[in-house]
Amino acid sequence: MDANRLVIDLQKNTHSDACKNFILEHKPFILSTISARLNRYIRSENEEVFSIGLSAFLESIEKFDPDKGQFYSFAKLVIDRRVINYIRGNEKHIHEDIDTIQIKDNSVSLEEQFLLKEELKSFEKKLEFFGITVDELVESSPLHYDTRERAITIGEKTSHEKDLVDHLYRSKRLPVTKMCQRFMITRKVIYGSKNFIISVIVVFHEKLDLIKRWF
Amino acid sequence: MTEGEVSVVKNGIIVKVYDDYSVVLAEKQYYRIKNKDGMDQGQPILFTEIDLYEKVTQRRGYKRYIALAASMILMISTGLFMNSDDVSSYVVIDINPSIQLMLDSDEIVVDYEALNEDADNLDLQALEGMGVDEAVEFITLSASQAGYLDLEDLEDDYILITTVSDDDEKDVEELIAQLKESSDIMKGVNVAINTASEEEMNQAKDEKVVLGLYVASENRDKDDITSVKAYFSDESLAEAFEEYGTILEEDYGHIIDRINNNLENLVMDEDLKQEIKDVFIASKEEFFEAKEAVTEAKEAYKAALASGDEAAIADAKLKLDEAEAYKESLEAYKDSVEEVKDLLLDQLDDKTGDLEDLLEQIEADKEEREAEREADKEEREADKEEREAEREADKEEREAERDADEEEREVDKEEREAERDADEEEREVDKEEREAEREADKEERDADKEEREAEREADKEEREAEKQQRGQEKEDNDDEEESSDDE
Repeated sequence: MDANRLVIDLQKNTHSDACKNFILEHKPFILSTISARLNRYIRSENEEVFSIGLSAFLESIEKFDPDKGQFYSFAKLVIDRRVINYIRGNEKHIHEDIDTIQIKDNSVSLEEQFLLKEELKSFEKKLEFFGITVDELVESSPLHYDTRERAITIGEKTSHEKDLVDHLYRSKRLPVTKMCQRFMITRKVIYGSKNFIISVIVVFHEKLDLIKRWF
Repeated sequence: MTEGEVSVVKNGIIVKVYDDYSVVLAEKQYYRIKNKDGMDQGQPILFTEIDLYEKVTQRRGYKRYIALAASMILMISTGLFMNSDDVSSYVVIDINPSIQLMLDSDEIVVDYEALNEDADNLDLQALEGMGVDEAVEFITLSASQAGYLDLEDLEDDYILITTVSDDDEKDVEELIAQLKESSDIMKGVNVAINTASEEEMNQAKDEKVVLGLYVASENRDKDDITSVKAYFSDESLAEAFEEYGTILEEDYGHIIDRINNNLENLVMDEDLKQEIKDVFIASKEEFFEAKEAVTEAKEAYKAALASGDEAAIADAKLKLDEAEAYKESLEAYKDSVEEVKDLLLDQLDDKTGDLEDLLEQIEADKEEREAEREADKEEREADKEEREAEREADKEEREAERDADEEEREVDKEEREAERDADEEEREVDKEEREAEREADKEERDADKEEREAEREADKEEREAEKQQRGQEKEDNDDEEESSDDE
């Protein structure tokens, strides 16, 4: 359906579920628009600027006039304006009280991020020990969701088997045959994502709990 | 995709920041994303598909061969052949370039003809006077120097040789086969050999198609037979060709080396590269080892057959079987190597292929094969032991039989001796009996005699007595007479 007509339809009731869903569906759009303006990535949806973006998007739905052109261009413009305003406001704010802003922005994650950074450094070092670079993990990641889940399960299971872990740390290679026998899996499952599985084993075995949350 | 419709938001953390991009871990997967301001390791991050970083892989163009048909020029008609009186057979060599050789009865090149433009570009004057094998090697070398084939790149090279001869002599084919084994250049290519009649040769010339393929593709679309390389790259066509001719394959060692050398040109992790190389070298060594083993085992088997020793023959046969099984198991290796090659080609073509995956597969296959071989060997060993045990058992049985026979014979002998003894005793007894009988007879006779004598005595005495009686009576009578007389 044409976006313009859809938006006009939504304007009738911006509190409807349809409108809410429309906004949620466009999170990536909102996010990338904000991110492009800021030239940095948004850390999380809790970041203030993201809610600025969301309300700007809602505003653009409410104020959209098809005579003015395409909705997406219009929405982008609105979000951009609001984000710029926000940055300016923040800058003013920073000049006035830099500490409160810092704490406000990162109060929850600053310490955690520090710890995570430490974990990531040791993660990187361990991978290096196995001759794997972080960069290589990208190619080793199973593309398909199911395959990925399976690879993670295999990695986690392996990390609980002492002899397998010993074998890995000693020879720097996965004990593929043993793993296949023990977990009743085919070699194929392991081969495609060998490095990925090793990375999972490392995370579990080294108790890198903050990273583990992401698996 | 219209503006605004960007997939989904991914929520993750920055694992590592590189110069041009960062690796993030999001939704259980690693991604590369474009760098923006303030990228920091461990930082939480929201990103979308448009933020993904496409790592540029270095693209290496490799030589593409121009289709033969396009470049073919009109042929000179067969009527213009020189020295046709001396020509006893023809050999057409198609690599693209295509060249026709005229051979005399000693398979010496007496004349040649460039069949296409590419062949025209080669300096072929030296061909005259060469033996056919030498000529084939010379043409191959010239073609490779001129860039028509690259013996070192990843693509398989084919040289098609079509012999045209009135008689069925296989001299040329044999010479080529020998050349294939001995020449370093020829080891590096696949040589396809086919035969054709002179009529077919002329037809192919008129139709401007590759002779050897023309003959092998009687019912096929002519479009199939444009280029030698394209033709043999098609497995089904190559297979079809083998119904008509033979393909002498590229030397395995050369394939390995070729692929190995090309690994250098690939954008790939060094360790993986090294790993593939190691596997390849190992496979190459194994392959030659296996080949050697089969040859040796064959010799040993022949020797054993000649010796006629049953156990030795069985043993040698066993070893030969083993060696052959080993070699066969390595044929799978060849397939794997082919696969690596294909993958490399794909990768050069910018298609994705998981080399590492395949490498692991090769290694796994190898392990499997080794395990199988081990198992086979054990089985064979067990068989061997069983057979030996059987042989041993047979031997023991035979010995036991022999022993038993001997014992029987011994027993027989004893029996016979006993019988003889018994006979003798019997005879002795008989004799004694007879003697006793004789004795008895004699005694009887004696007794009779005595009796008779006694009778005779008795008779005599009787007669004496009678006589005396008669004398008495006479005396009495006399007395009476006397008395009477007296009276």
